[in-house]
Amino acid sequence: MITSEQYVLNVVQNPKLLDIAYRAIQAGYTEKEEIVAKTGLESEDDGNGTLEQAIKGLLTFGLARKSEYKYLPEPLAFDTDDWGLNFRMTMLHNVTNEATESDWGKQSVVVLNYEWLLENKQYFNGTSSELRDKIDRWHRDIGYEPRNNNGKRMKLNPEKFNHWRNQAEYLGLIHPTKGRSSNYTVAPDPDLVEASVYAACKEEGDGEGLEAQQYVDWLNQNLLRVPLTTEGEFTKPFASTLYRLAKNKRIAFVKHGDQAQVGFDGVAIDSNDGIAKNANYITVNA
Amino acid sequence: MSSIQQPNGSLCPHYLDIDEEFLSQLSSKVAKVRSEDKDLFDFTHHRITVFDALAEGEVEISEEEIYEQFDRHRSKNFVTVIEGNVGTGKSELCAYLSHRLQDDGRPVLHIDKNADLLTIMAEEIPDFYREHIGGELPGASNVERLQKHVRQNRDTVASLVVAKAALNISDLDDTNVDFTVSERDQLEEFVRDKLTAISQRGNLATKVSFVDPGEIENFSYLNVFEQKSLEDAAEAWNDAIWEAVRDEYDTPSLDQLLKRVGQDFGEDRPVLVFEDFSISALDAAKLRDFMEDDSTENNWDFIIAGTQDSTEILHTQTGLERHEFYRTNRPNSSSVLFLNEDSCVDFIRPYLGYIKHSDGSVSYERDETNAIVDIDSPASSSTCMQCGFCNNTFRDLFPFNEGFLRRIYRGLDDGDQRPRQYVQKVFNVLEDYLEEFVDSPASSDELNDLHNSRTVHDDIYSEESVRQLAKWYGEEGEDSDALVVDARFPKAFGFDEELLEDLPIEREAVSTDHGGPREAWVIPKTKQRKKKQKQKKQKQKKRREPKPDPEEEKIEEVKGYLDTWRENPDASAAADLDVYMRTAFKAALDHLTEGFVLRPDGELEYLVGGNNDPFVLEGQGVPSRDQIRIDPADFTTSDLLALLRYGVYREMSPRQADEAELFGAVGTQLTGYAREWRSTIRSEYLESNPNFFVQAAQNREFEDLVIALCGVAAMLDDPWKEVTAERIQEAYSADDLSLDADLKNILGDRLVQEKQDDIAAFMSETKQIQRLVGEYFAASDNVLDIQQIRERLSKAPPVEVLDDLKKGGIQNLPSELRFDSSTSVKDIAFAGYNLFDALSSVAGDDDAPAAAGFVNHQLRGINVSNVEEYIESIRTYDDVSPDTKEILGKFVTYSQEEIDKVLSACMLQDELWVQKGTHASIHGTLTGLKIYEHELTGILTQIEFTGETTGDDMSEFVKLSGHYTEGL
Repeated sequence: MITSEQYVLNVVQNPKLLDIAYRAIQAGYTEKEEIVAKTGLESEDDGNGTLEQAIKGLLTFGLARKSEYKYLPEPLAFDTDDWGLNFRMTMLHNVTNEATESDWGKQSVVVLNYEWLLENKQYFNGTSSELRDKIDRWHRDIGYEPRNNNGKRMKLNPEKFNHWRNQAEYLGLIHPTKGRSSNYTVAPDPDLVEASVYAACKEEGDGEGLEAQQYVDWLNQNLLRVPLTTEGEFTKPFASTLYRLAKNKRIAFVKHGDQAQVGFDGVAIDSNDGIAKNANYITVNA
Repeated sequence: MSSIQQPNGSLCPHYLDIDEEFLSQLSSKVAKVRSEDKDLFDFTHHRITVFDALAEGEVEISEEEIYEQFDRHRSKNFVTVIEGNVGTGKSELCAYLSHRLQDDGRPVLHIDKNADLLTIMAEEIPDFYREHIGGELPGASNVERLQKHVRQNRDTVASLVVAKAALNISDLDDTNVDFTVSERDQLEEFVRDKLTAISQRGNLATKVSFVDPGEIENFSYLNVFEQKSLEDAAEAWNDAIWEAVRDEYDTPSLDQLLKRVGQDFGEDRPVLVFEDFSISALDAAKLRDFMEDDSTENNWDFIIAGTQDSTEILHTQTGLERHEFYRTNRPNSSSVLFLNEDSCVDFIRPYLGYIKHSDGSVSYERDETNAIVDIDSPASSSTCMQCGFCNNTFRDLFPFNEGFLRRIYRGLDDGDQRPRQYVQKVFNVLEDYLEEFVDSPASSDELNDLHNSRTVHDDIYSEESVRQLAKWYGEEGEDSDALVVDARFPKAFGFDEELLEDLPIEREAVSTDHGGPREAWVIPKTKQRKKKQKQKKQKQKKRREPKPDPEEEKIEEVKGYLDTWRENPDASAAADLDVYMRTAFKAALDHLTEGFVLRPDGELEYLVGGNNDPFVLEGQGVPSRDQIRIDPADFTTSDLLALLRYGVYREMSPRQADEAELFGAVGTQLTGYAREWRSTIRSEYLESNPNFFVQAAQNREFEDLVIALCGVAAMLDDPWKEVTAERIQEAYSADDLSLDADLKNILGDRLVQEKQDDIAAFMSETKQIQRLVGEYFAASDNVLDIQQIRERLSKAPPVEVLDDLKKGGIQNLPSELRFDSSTSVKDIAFAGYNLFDALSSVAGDDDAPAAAGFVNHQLRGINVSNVEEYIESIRTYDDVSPDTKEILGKFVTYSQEEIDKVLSACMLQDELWVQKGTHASIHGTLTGLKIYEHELTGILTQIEFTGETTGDDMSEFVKLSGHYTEGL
């Protein structure tokens, strides 16, 4: 995985800058000076101004491309009523699209780190070297080895993990808690998960909803790598989020046909009218 | 080879093809079903003992003694009244007496609780007559006709009856019957509804009375009497309507019909059983009179069962003297003599055994009172014999065991420990098992509302089905700190043996009361229990072991009530636990909202006081505006245990409360609540608060206000700068924003002190305003999303946003919404509101455009270096006065840049002045007033000019220099 492509954990420290720059580009302000004027972002000669950071981020996340001296926007992959959500989901989409076991994209780290957390944690310390080492080892185990221009493997060091935390928080994957010790819960944004169900239904569904397994497959190809337990259940962080959506009647899990069931690990399904016993099909309340 | 398979994750063979209707009959609360199925009744009936209702003290009477009171040679009516609370065995006693009397050859008419009056009179009594006497009952066809009409032509019947009833009423004294068309329509509709009620099954009962006193009061068209009380008026209407019905259909009343039937039975005393005596006051009174009639022509035996309210009408002097009154339950209690904790298993045993009795799998040895003494061995070819899974201790009870059934009974509220409640609860659990909804009957939701505070080791809470198995099936172990579950039960329900490896459970052979040792799962009740082997090794050390922590002891003490609390947080049994759970939820939300701040990494908070919770629990009422709803049922008990642990430590040793442990178990779910809470507060008070702005400005948003506040602060800080997104970015980053000095001076002259104070108060909030901007628009410490600010500014000019603020809406903001104890959003918004009021006092001040026009006129096109040269020259001349020289000296201290700035301000003032809108007007005024107050303006006013003008690009100074030099 030696590419000249920049590494997302090196270049995106503040993902909020990306959507500011993207909106300017999308509005037709495609040259550096125009973007500066439109956004107030600052350009620095050393290439480290907020403008440069934003543009590098957009290029790395596949949200823009360079054409001579202009920066052109790539279209967003989603079309919900919430522009910010579409933007965030597209960031994830672009990374996940290239995150396949046979050929990990260089930026797969964004969703791989989260996949590991979804499988192992609901709460973590963002500065824990033990945690980083575990994730890093897992990267190697699954064959994900991002390398720099010299061909050297890039380890998940504190700075990179710090940048990843900023990205994951912005994307609505993790949630900061009180205190100075940089602790987070692993908590997918319910709006994002709901939007993913709707998008999956639109692309893969039969008009009323879609099979749970189809949803999992869609997620893994289009938005997030979501692990299942050995029993074929959503792990607790994702299961809890789906549970809450069903409880609030934003989606429902029903028994429909004979397709495989995808269960919910560690949640009180019995108390949720929105989740049927042996549910294998997701409906949306459009 | 037998096709019978032992249960192994599958149902008991008896339940594989069970008929739902059969089960429903078995647990039916309708005694008529039981009185018609003698086999079922005999198998399941448990001897009933009741109280003599009229005796002093508790005098017990058995069902046989009651039965013996019935004398077929008696010559008058005989009435047995069985009173008692719902579900306490009244109907069962009725069924018992019915069977005994039928066995004696007595004709028994059993009226079930769902029968309606017309059905009784038109169908049940005539059928009974036809069956026992033969032929048609005289007068019954008229009732049948009435019944048919009521069912099919209700409108016509109502119209007919109302017409006649109105005439009947008008015949009475002191009435004023003069209905309008509308009143007559209403009355017909009223009667039609009543007719509907009397012809609907199940509603007979209380609704047969046509008119109640309350209805006389409520419906003016019924109130046609001049002097009658409401009760008398209702009775008059009832009589009039019934009279109309009977006139029209020539129907007998119930008592007349019974009298007629009884006479035809002669010496064969018929028995009438009213399973639920709650018919109308009108008919009940007539029936009562008939029952009390001691004429020897009457020959009915009545068995009347009902709650005391419904049988009250029978408590007349005569009735109390002549009838027999029994009561099934103790006063002020629903407990009955024939069901208690000791007898509850034997009580339910035949109900469950009946399912397996048809092929001889289950039969009992009984005593003379039908009580079960022992279970027989299964018949040779029966299912139980072929299956061989159960032993005699639970064969009839499976899928339950004795302990489970006893715990169901014990778990019922005191008021629910009644036969019917108990039977129904057991069968509801059974139904969940049969539907295969649950891992085992112990996991049935039906058990949730039962009290059972048994606990297991904390680690087992993660395997809910095992915890529930232990809780309901477990028996106390030898060492009393473990629950022992017969290993056959987990096997039958398909529990994986691997659980034994993952959980602190041991499989051991334990001795039993009923024979040799058996394999069992030994499940520790508390976290403290040590495995047996370890216990032996540690026996010596035991004395030196420290006492468990008080926190751990507290957790063990209250955790048994988690299920109770989960079902009902108000349950008194769980009151202690409730305190810890609330503490845990509140502290968790505090942590996950970073101290109840409204945005991640934000500063704006909502103060949640010590006595307030940011949530209400499900079932505890409607959340207030600053609360979310949390449903304990949304948590697994394993998660609730984690919360309890955290709550106990938070209360007892806050420093040891382990957030990592709590959030490691239930962090995602709690985060969901934290996000909901933030969203609730923000939308309720800020972002979707419709009361921030006046009605005409409902398109404004709180974010507009944030920009407006910062924009106006920037404007007051420097009124010569246009309020743009960039200016707001600048103001956001400024160390300090303060009221411009010139502006302060001139506003000091123009405004009363109160308004000046309002401006000062607003400027004192600028730090908080900067924080607000940061909350809503910052991408980093130094970067604002100025595109968004620009868009908002274009639609919402700052001063106009302040103009749109609604005082009442701001007043209603809670002071808890704040940055810190001294600054609330309410204060900030009020400061903005008052500021607008102050600024609008100076809006349109004519001095503003005049000053700008003057200065612009004087200075435009000026080149400072030229002017300096001219002035130096002028100052050398003697005829120039010293004052003029001094003024000119001051003027030359101004740089070209400074003068350009003033000129630029003049331009801005001019542009704003011609624009429309409050924002431009006030900003234009402030810009001009600062020009007016500016020192340079003062200088210019003191220099003597020629008064001539020469064109746009020439300044008066150019001419001034010319004036002096030419004059020399």
